[in-house]
Amino acid sequence: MRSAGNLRFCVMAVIFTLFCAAAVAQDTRIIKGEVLAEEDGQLLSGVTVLLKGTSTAMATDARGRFNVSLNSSQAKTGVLVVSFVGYAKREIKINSRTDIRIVLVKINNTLTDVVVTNSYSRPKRKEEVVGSIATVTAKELQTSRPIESLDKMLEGLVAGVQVEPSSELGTPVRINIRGQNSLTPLLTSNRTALTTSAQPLFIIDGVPVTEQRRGDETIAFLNNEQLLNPIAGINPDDIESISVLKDASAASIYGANASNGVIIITTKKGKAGKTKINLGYSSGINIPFNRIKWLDGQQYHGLAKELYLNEGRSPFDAELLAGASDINTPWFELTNRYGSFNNVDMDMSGGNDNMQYRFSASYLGQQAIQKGNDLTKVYLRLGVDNQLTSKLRMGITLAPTITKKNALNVYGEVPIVPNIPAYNTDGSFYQLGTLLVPNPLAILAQNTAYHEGGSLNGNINLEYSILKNLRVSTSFGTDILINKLNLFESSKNATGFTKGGFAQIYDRTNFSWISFSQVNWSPVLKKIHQFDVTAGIELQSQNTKLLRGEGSGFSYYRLNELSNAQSQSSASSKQTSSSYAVYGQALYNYNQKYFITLSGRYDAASVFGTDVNSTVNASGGAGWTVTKEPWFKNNKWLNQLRVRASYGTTGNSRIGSYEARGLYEFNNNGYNGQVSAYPSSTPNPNLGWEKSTKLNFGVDIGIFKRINITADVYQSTVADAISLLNIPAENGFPSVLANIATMRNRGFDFSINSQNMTGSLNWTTTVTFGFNKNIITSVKNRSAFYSASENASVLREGISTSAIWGFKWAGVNPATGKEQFYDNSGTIVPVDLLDISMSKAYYLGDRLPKLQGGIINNLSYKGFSLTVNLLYSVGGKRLINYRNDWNGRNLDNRNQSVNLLDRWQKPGDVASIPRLSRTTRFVTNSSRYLYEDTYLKLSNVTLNYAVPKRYTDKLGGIRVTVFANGTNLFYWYKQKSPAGRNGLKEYKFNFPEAQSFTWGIRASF
Amino acid sequence: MKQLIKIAGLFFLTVSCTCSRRSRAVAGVLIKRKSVFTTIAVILTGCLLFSITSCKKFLQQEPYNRISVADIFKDMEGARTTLAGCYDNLKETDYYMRVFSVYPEITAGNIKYARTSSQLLFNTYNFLNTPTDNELEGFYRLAYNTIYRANNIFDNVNNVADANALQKNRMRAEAFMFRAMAHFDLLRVFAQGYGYTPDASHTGITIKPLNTSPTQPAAPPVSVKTAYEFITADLDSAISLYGNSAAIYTSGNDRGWFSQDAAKALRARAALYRHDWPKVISLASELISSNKYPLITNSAYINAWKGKNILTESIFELVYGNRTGGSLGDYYNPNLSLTGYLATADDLLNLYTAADVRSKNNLYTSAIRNNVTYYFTKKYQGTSDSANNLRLLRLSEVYLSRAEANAASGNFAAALTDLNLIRKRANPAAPVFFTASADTLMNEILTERRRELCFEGHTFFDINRKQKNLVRTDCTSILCSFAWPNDKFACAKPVTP
Repeated sequence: MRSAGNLRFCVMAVIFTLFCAAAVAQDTRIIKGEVLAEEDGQLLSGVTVLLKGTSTAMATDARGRFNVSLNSSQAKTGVLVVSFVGYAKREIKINSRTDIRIVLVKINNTLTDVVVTNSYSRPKRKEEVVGSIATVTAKELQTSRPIESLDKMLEGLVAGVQVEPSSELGTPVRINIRGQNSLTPLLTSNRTALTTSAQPLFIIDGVPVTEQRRGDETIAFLNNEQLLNPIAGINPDDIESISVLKDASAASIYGANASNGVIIITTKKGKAGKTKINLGYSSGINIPFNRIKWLDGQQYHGLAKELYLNEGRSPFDAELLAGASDINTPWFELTNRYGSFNNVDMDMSGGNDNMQYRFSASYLGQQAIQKGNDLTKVYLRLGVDNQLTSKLRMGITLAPTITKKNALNVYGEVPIVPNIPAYNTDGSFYQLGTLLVPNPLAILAQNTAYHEGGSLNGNINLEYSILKNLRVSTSFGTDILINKLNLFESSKNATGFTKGGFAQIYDRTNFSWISFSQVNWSPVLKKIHQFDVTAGIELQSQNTKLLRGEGSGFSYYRLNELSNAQSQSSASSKQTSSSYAVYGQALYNYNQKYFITLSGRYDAASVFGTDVNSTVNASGGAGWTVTKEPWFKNNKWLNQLRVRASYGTTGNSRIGSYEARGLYEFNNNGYNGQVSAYPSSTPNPNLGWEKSTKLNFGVDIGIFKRINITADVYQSTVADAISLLNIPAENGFPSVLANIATMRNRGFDFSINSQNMTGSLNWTTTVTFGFNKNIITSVKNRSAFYSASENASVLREGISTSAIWGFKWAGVNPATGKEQFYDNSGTIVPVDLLDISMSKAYYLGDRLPKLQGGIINNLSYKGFSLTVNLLYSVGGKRLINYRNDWNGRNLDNRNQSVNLLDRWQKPGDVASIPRLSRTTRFVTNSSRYLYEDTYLKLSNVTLNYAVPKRYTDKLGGIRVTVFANGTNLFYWYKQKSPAGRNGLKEYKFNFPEAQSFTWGIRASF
Repeated sequence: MKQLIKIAGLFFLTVSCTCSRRSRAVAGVLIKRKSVFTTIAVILTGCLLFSITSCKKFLQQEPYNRISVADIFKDMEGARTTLAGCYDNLKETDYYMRVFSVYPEITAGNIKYARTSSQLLFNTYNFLNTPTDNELEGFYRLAYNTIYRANNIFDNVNNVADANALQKNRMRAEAFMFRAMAHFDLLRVFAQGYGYTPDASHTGITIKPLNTSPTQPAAPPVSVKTAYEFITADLDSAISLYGNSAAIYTSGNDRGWFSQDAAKALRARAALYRHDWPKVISLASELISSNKYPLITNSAYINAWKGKNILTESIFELVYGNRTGGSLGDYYNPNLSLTGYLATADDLLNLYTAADVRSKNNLYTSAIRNNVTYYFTKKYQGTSDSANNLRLLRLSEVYLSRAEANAASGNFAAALTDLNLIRKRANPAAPVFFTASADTLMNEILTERRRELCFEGHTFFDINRKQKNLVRTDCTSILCSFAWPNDKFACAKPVTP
């Protein structure tokens, strides 16, 4: 391929030389040039180059080059007008140059852009789309950021999409599209997943991604598995675009699983033409950021002593129990580091008219700042499209991924006390007291929490064109995940001491497949009636197998395989589900002016009760491009005006596999020598699909051909939301899963994209804005379920499903040093007299923000381009980990926040922290731990520099881009941290937050 | 590799869906007409037909970790595990394993705490249970859950393919036993005694003759009279079904499973509670004269209670099998410092003469806690652990019930014979008890019941049904004594929040 290219280049060069010679003779100048895209430096073919004021026009060739012969005055003062679909038009003065390099900048979110609307039909022009779909291109996604998964990258980029931030590597991320459309799962002791999945449906090249969930194992299984992020199987570099389907018109073709919105990921495909190779490397560091300030050894000693004195110990005993006052072990520094980030990727693509391919390979190595936490991924992806005959086309994609991850939990939740040494004098690890609290350094050295696995996402599709407008196609895809989690707690430290070493191995296999066959008919009648009709059937199946091995009492401490354990046990679990669907979509437009979209889908699934296991979801939408009306033509400033409306339903069936059944579980101990079984759930044949009805009104406005505004108002009503229903004890069960609640999300999405400046200095600004309000409008339960583990969530009529439910703190009583709370009637009561039954608690705030979004600025000048991402969030509340600041409750074996220094000491003290005590009653869901999470964050700054051609030409036409990137650079919080103390800024993340700085280089051949 | 084969297989499956034989045949005919549209329509319709017929099966996914109700009752091996599961429920800590067994002891004044904090059933000891804060809530739920399990058996027993009619009868008989027992136990805790109103029309409990949809509201409680009618009808059914049944279990000790005699013993107890004296006498006599359950002898008495022995006089015991620990005995075991704190109140200890085999020095172990000597019953003394069988139905109770029924019916001689049998068994040297006073006799029978059946879950229920005043002297409760009648004789029913 390379040699062929060289040959072609030589021939061209010879012809060129001859041509130039001829040109000089005729006193005309030959101007040559090339046009490339700013976002990836790729040469653009088919770009129109026009000499202004003349009819001289040409198009760039397949290699993005053009030449034109001009007379000498034209060559001096002429202006070239360069235009290309999807890019900003540029006017370039020739200024007697003979070799001109023109960089075109892509226009974001214009109506001429092509949008992937779903995985069943071909991309549409944005103008044709009636539903609310937001698209993010690879460039907008800024994949060079040191972020390991694309869901985290979406933060702030799409109006109405909220990514709940997480500081841990490779764990599942919560995404809320237009608010939370499922009830918050409330964990109880023996039921794990009590609500439908609140996550959007992710579809990669037509294959839905299987979410890892717990819940269907028997109680005996005792699942302590750490889950991985299911989206982490895709390399952000492979993404061509992401479409977020927000309303019913867009999403109801996915029917029963589309209630939380759908995120469609389309990967890059090979293009016909010369082989293109891209190589990239980037590297960086992670630095601890906004760390929690802990007590130092001396402060700790003082407080511990005071605690013991408060408990009535003698000063001598207190001094003794408080330990050393002259040791200060910096545990944070010892267990954290400057993490690193390394990414190498390459891709190769090309092909001819009949066959195109793209292959990519990438390696990602990322170290978190907390030791014992890192992530290694290797991604491979091969896509081949083949025109087998003039009518038959086949596409194959295969994308294996390998993941290795270490995720040691170093502290439990709070660090160990500071006034003990890290090591004994002989160099061994110091152990605190009676081995109750592990030495984190011993954990790092001796324990294991290691994931090793892989995933395979692949699909094959065939498309046969029967007639020009009539195609049938069939597609089969799989999503396979295999993961092995090794947990080991060594007998040499407190974690595994009593068990003589303890190991668990979880072996998980998710296997799912999807297959659909469909027919598509897209005629244009009488040139003005355009139809696009798709109908098909789909089968899907998922199965999950889980195997757990467990061992304790290891014969020799360094051998951790289960066969070395004196006592071993194992358990396995398997679950399957299947569904079947018939779907259809019909698009019609009249003269590109009036648009109608109808979609529908019939789903039947194994998941639900026998009486109600099928459902139909449907939607309709209409759009009107006002500016295409003849009476509206030639408006000076308003170049686009389009209004859209849609209405329809979507569902949610992701509840676990057998929840509607009455099931028996076996008790292996049995009774009187006989195996026994007990009903673990009672049948509820009426358990059915959650149904959400979505209404959307939208408008797209283009002003001065520079500013594009998209605004949508919506309402989504979730009926029959599933959660646990309390049932009368007399019915034999405490609760049953049932459709018990209705919930409503109302809101407003807004995004504006502005070309502030065009020309050599190009400046675009994108602002996204999402406002959402959630309310549970009815619940059948007579009393509210409450779950402390999910941010003190509650299921209660009249408030949001993401509400934080707790007690209003009334400070510390100066006389007694005890905490006080407001009771139901608003009077202040001391903590020991507070009625803490959940019915007496208050609505304290909402975990999710009222409004949130991003401000993205992009500046480019010559080869430089600068992207600055600002994210903001207003009105969310955050309940922080109370264990950091626990009134001295675990002061005997854990360190505490420096805020504890402000404790109450003697009557009359006006203090923010109560008297140190281990026995005073304690309220975890107290407004004392509630912070307003209103912030502005400088989340990312990237500087790109495309090295000018003249430097790289000698290297054989390589285009080189270098870039530098900083993420998580700066926070502004509305609620400030007190001086020298911790506030939300520090407390926000339990897993230490990091700032990253990376640089990288990218070369294209 | 296996996965790859699977993928390939599934792909062909899908293709075969599109080209299933039926649609291909029809399509073949139509292709001849060269109507492309029709062909596609036919292929799609074919797929649809295929899906409607075969996808029903495709959508039927049976769980692997658990088993559906319909499935477990398909065969005998599955069906009998659901019965064993009912016995499991009785062994739960909120039922006989702890709460329900301790309830009538701690309220009656047989027990005092040998520690001062975190005491089991402390609110119950103080009669502070309320509908929303109720230490018996777990028991309430478990009893109804047991009824649910039993009703599931009624609903499905006919589907057991490999069970013969006799075995099905046995399963029904057992289910009747559980349903009756759970209702009876609920009634004993949560309702006043039968004679509280002359016609027993006072409030009893909700009865569940069949399982209802889980989301339906609970039926209101029926009167005590109706409840007893329901319970005795179930027990009568059980007795008659046992008489025409065949064994279903393959393992374990016979006395660990309910039997016709167990049904009779429970039926006799229910008859005693509802003042049906002839029934008590006739059933008790049947059991006694069968000679299958000889009374433990005086010499064997103390050791007989040890561990997992089956008492000679036991009609039914909740057996422990190989399980160790986590038993009712842990609370009466002075060697367990964490749980062994249910000591014996002097009120009870003072009822025995020294020579009585059940007295303080014979059937009790002493232990010193905080410089105080406490006595703990040996009825739950273990061998290596305190995981003892729970003796739920034994002949001594049957004798005493017959004595009581005879005394109530005026047959003093018969009553005195039975009473003295139990007295003399405990202390062969004891003088024969005689009285001509009905009251004295009845009181002595009651006292003997307390002496003999203490720690086996009777005393408070006996006080209640015999309409006696509660008197606790060796007592630290905020409410040690109260006269009958009193609301506190019936525990407040927990309300589902």
